[in-house]
Amino acid sequence: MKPVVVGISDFRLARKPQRLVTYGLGSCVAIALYSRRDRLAGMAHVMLPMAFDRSQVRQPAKYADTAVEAILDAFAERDIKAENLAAKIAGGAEMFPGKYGGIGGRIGARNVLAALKTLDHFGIPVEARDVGGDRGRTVEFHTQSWEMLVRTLKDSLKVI
Amino acid sequence: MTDIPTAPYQLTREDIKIIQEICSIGAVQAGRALKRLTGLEVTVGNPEVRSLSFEEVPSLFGGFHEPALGVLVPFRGDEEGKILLLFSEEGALEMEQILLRGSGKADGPLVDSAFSEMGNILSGAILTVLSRLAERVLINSPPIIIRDMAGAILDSTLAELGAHSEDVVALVSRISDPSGSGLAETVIFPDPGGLSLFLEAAKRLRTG
Repeated sequence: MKPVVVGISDFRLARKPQRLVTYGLGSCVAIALYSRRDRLAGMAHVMLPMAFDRSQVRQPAKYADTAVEAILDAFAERDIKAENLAAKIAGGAEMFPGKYGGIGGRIGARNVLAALKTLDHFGIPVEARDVGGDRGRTVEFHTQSWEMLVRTLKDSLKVI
Repeated sequence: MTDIPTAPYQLTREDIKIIQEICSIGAVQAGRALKRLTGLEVTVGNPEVRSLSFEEVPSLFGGFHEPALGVLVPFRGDEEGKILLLFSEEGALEMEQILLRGSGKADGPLVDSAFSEMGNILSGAILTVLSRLAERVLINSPPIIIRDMAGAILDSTLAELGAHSEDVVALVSRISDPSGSGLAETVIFPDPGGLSLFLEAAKRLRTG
């Protein structure tokens, strides 16, 4: 079965047994929300922590806060409540090291923080995370097992 | 300081034409410098200016998961910004052959040093042209070499641009070997500071 591909600043839903995949996360973060009971998952590939002017947001999945809300809205349309959800997140690397760590203003760490704060705000437990570091990640979320598979170019596969 | 363009970037056809002209001057200079470095007729093609949505960027590189080599050159002075050269894995290996006339995998301090030099040369050529046309002082910083998935290199670069716009401007150019075969696609993503320089230079060229 072909995976459901999530592009940059995008989010997609997948029903069991589909899998979601997003490629080449650097400072970006993949946020997966899922309801085992309802057999549905949603995953976003977010670029930035927070939307400062929500009226200007064209793609809600570009920001961690509006991405979580957009997935929650999509779940709500299917009568799935936030209390039935759990989350896993991956990404938020700092790709440019050393004295250039300031490039992007530690955006990876800020993306992770914004994702965690927003999930906490909605009372959604984060069951697993693979964040930070200085390596890019490709992330798959499997609705068969509710596992997140995290691949880097050099390291072995990590299952969270 | 010039004004930072507001989102979305609204480049007129005239802007694109003049930015392309500026880049062409830079490309000729970069080609000459690369020829001096390698002793070979390496050419840097005329860059094509593309305005893309973030989702369209992977199409430039055949996918976000593909291994790539990035040469990131921050610059400072009257404006701050950065220039990113992104090579596919094959392109990096071919470029390494040209730079070092060696063989093998693109890795190691010597290879990094060669790519840094190349980053200095290409960015120096572009910044010299921009400095002259926009009448700004621009100094390139030492390049950062990074090997990872193309998407991971890109999204960290694009994230900053994403804060200002829903779209990205890419200057896409091809480096060719002496036989005219394409070696690598290089892409420059001017950030808001860099793009404002191009637009300022374009304005000056237009008004004479």
